Amino acid sequence: MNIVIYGHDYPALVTGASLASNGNAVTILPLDAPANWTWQDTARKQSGLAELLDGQQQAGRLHWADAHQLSLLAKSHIHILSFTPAQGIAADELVGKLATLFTTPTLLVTQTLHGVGRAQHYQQRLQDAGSLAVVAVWPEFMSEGAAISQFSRPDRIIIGTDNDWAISTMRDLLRPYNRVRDMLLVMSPSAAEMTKYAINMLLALRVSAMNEFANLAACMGVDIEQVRQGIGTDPRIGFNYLYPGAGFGGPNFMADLAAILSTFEQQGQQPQLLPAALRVNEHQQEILFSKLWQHYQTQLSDKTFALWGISYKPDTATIAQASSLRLIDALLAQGARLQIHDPKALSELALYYPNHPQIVSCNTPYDACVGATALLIMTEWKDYWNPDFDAIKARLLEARIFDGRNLYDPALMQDIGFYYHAVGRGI
Amino acid sequence: MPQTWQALYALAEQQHLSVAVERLFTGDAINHTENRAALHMLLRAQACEGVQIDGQAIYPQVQVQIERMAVLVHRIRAGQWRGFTGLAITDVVNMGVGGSDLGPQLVVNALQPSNPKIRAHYLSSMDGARTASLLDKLNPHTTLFVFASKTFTTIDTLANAQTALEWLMAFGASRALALKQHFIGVSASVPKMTAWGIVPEHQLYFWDWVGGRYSLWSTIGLTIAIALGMDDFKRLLKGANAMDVHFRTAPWQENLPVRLALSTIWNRNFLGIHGKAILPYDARLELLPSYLTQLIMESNGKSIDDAGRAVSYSTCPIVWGEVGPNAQHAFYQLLHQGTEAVACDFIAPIHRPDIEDEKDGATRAALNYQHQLALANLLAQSSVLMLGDAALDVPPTDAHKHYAGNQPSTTLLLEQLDTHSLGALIALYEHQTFVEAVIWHINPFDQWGVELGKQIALKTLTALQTGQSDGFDGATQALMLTLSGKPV
Repeated sequence: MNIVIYGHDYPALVTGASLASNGNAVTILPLDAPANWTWQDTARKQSGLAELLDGQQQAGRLHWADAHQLSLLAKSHIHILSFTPAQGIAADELVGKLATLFTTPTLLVTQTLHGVGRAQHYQQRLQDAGSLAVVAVWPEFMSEGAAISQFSRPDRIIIGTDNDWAISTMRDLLRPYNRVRDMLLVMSPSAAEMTKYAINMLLALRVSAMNEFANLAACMGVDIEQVRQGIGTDPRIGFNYLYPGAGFGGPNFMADLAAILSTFEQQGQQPQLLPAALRVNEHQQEILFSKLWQHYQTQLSDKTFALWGISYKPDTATIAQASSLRLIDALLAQGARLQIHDPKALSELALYYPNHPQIVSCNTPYDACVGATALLIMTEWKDYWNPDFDAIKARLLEARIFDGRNLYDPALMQDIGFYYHAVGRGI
Repeated sequence: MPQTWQALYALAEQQHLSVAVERLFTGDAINHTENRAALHMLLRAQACEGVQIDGQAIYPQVQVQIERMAVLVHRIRAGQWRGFTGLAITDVVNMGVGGSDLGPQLVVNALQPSNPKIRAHYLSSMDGARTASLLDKLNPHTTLFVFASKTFTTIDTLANAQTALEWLMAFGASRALALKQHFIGVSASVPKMTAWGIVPEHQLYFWDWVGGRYSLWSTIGLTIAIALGMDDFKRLLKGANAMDVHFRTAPWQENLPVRLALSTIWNRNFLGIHGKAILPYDARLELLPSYLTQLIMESNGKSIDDAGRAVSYSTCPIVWGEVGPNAQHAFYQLLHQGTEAVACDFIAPIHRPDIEDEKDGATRAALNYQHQLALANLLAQSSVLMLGDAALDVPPTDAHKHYAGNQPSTTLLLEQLDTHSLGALIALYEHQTFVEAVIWHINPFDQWGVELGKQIALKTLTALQTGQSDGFDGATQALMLTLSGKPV
């Protein structure tokens, strides 16, 4: 099949390269990408993506296009909108243009979402322009860092459309990913959009609920880890997304949550739960700052801290809306200095805080610890799970760790001579 | 009418108004009972005009305090001012009385956005009843107190601040951290701020020559700057400065403060009208009547002239007011059919650009209709006050429906209500108050009439605590007995 994918972020590139690897002829049009963007910029953030894209380009199944080729591309059968959540306006403008260009029966797929009801709005625009194109919603459930495997082994495929031809076309397109058992779920376009948003909202509520409990546990000398184990055994709840820590973030997840809020507001509804969860999260993103502030009696201006991990989650270089930024901003505002290590995100850091006099980027986690008052951990990169604690201790001024991701066992840390401050460990 | 105005200008001339205005602006010790200048205009000056007090240039000192204020405001609004547990400050409580309370409250209430970054609250009265209910609503981890007092000895504010400090400590703050992270002091007395425990870097200063009711332009405006942002605070100063320049330079025939003051003189001294009502037709200005009540009556409620003699003429009228449309359902009855004539100031914005922010078209249209409705009512009221029955084609025959009319009013229209125009409006009333005082030969910048009550209260407090009521008048003694629970 001839497929055009619009977008420049990892969902667009992973989808494009994966569909090409099944034999489809795929063109990616990175509309509205940042100035001087190259596909390598995105591929670099996602393990395995560069190789996948390279291979498909060499095989001649994956091509790149620019906006000038839009009228030519409009003849393709399947168009997948894979913009970022922040690109709602660009997506709408594109649909306006495509509506006048589609001449044959065409399937327009929205893969990333811009509010509930957007697909219906697109369908109306197409109809008003006299186009026969059909809109289907295919929400993506990829998360940054694990996107390629999540695309090829999905937990479920949701298709939102009322059109039989669109259903059979999507079923056909996604056949390679739907072989073990049929996991394709068909529903109305708006239901598909709402499903994706509801999932994200419930995840946010769950994490914030755990964080609120973790803070209570910390006050009462209870270890939240024991509580987490207990909660997870309830089959109605399960073990996923129960880890307390320094809050959630990331550009797409946060944009989706903002889209939920604005969908509620557009309907004249006042959501109660999500704003509460977001408030909890705002505090939680600064939890290490609060611990430092109290431990050092507000005297932070004369101190240097080592910080491990700044990306909003492991295996990605993205730092937009990461919890770490809230911590860094708070420490900088108090005049503290930071020695920062991250396996992938240091170049993003340099763009975000260009030549900041209070920030030093470090090539190894141990370099970051040299002469620092304490070590802070904000992203649970695999690299940090079993470090050389002797090497850390030898470099820090005091063997003290503030861990926003609960990587270590408090009892063990005590045994090896560290003061260890985690989230909700109560000890 | 033109002859009346000419006569009033001649009166102003005779009272040496031009000389007085220059003495005011150049920093003469015009407040002669306290031997001080009254230089609140310098707080909003847009450039150095070389005014000195005791050989010290004032403008650079003012700018230093504005810059220090900007640093604190920026940190608070950026979410980087932290409470004792490290949480960002979300609420600010302005603790002050008189000018330290009304000024910030008026401006913030008029212009704060519906979803402010930092919420502002106010504590003024000494009794503590409001203090308890406000503290109940606030989070001690995220609340900052602005302790604003010129002398830093004001009993009302000290009492509230002490309660706030105890409240913070009850939630686990150490005394040192509560003082350091939860209090900013604004005062003319650095030693007193330090003695109370305000850390030096959180002390903002203003000067003896800033009267309390003229202080919102100084660091007393901190709560305004926190709630609205430093840029808006500077626009407020700029608007007031524009009125200063106008007042100092415009010929009297075009000079708003002069004309407003002379119309008061005419109404008060020639027509014998005792009352003045301030009637804004915009609910955002609901606190303006209280603010002007203090500004005008505390300034000009005097009966001793500049030479220390009792005056032989009337001075300040009784000033009060209310949002006009609300007052229509309250005291307008008296305005139209009472036995006391009242001079009214009607105030309204011409445009309401804030309505355009409303997303829904029908709601927008409804709000525009409401604005038109308010303006129509304003015009109707001023017209009926003037014309009485003559406003009707057919005058009423029943005596109880009769309107005498022939009552004066002034209508002030603002292009729109924003920080700039509000600054200018307040400065307009400051200067009209000054002009009135010049005509009446009284000192508008002192307030000796509020002192005696404070003195006697101290004596009374001792009496209440000890139960020794000897030496008080019979009525007070009886009340003291009732308070002590003993039979009278």
